[in-house]
Amino acid sequence: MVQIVISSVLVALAFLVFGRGMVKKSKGKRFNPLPAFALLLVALSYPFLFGEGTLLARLGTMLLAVGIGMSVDAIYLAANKENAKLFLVPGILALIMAGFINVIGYFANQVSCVFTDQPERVTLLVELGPDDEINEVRSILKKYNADYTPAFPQVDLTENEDLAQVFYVQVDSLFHEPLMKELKHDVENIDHVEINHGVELFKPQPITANKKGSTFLANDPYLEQQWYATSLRYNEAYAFLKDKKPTQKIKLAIVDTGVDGVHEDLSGVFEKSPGNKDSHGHGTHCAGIAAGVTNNQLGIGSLNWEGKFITLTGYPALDASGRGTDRTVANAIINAAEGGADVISMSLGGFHPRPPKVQVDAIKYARKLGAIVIVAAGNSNDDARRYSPANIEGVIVVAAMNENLDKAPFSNVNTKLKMPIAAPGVNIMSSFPGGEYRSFSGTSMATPLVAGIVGMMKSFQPDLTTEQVYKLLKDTGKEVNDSGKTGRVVQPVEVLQAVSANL
Amino acid sequence: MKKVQAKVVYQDISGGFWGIETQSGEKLQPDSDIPAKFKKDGLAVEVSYKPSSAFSIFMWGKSVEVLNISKA
Repeated sequence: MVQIVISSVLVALAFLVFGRGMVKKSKGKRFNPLPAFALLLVALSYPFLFGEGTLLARLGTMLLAVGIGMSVDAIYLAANKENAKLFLVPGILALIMAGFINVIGYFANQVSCVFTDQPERVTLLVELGPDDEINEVRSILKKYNADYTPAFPQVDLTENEDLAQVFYVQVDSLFHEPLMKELKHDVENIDHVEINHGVELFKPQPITANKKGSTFLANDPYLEQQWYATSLRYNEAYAFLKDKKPTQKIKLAIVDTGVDGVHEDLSGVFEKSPGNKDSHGHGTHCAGIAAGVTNNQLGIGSLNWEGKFITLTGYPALDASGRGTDRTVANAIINAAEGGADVISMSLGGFHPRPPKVQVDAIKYARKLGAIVIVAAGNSNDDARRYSPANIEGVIVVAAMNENLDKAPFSNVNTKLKMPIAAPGVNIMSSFPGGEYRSFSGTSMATPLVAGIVGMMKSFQPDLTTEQVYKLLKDTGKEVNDSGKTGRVVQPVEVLQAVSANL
Repeated sequence: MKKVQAKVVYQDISGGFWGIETQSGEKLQPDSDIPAKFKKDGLAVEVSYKPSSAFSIFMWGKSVEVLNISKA
């Protein structure tokens, strides 16, 4: 609007100068038309130099200004009794043309909305390297007129160096492919580039179990989801155990990453010990499998009915990343044994065809103090003889089985060792730090399951030796297709009945 | 020290971890976490390493100390 007013005023002035000049000329005076032409040039070019919109729109603005300016001049000439038609007719024509152009422009705009609307924007997720900054790729983003913003501003590098480095990058759809190509090529700064595909979010469902209609005697809500509890007939074991009392409450030590001793499903049976915290979660998971409190209306079920048979302790051998050394493992074994452990569960190991002497000595020492040591076969689909502590004398070595009671693909073969046995070790639900419950797989999970059974056996007959326990496990174990690679699958009902029958 | 062509592999065992599998199929278990930028399943890498004697909850492959890792 401002352009029209300014331009109209300029045009009117220009033609006014013309008009006055013509009036002067008609009276025989001199008239220099150059200032009027200069002013008209400025007036006509103004909409094109400072106007907005399309060329057509600017032309319309110019004609409107010309029409208004000429009409004003026609009025001026008429007022001075001069020939007004000279400006009136072209002025009206200019106004008509301006109106026509505006009508065309309106329809053209309607059409252009269909074909030339704002180009679609595509959002990319661009992950920088941990040490890189967005400035390092700014020139590429600028080249494609891409906008960017941190995708997860609430996450900093110390919390998660992947998420903290992810940026939303928005770019016109026409350019997203070359931009992606160029970003992917910049391997120095960019770790990953992908289109932010739309996803339909479903509200996460908490893990729930059937409290009503449960087939288990125990009321632990997640029992229905513990496939191994069904497979190993825990319910029959519960029927057997619920009215029994232990000869002696057994102390079962988890030598691992520690145990979250205040977990709701463990605190009732956890005894003060050096590893009462768990920065990884592995040790806490193992503890729940071995002896989580059962029939307490919380979490998972083990065989430790109402926590009456087994006390748990934790001895830290591994750090928060799940790793340790000969020395840390040996120390934990020694401490567990000296702490009075009746059963030591070790879901750890390493590739050591010749076992480290300190571990051999530590296990020997623990056995001498009366502990039965249960260890994992390993997860490398290899011969467990090449893994320590599985290859140390005097330990029961546990392979992992899947839901069909076949050898888990990852499980090492333990049958060339002296005391091989098998237990479920795939998708095993158990306790996790922070009051959580998670499913893990590994011979790590099969091991505490056996350790828990051994703990229950010892609770009835505390004097059982490693060899006696193993014989009972083997004799009552279930022969399955892969028993030649894993040993027999433990059968808690049969073995507990066998132990109690000897009382 | 050994230098091999390998790939990074994710194993959903014991809560999950990143390992390295050489072109000959040998499994290498880094004794500390590999840098985040290499944590991509199937990523081709060149690795320099030496044997290590670490123990872990993973019990997968040979424990090694990774001296250098780069994208192949």
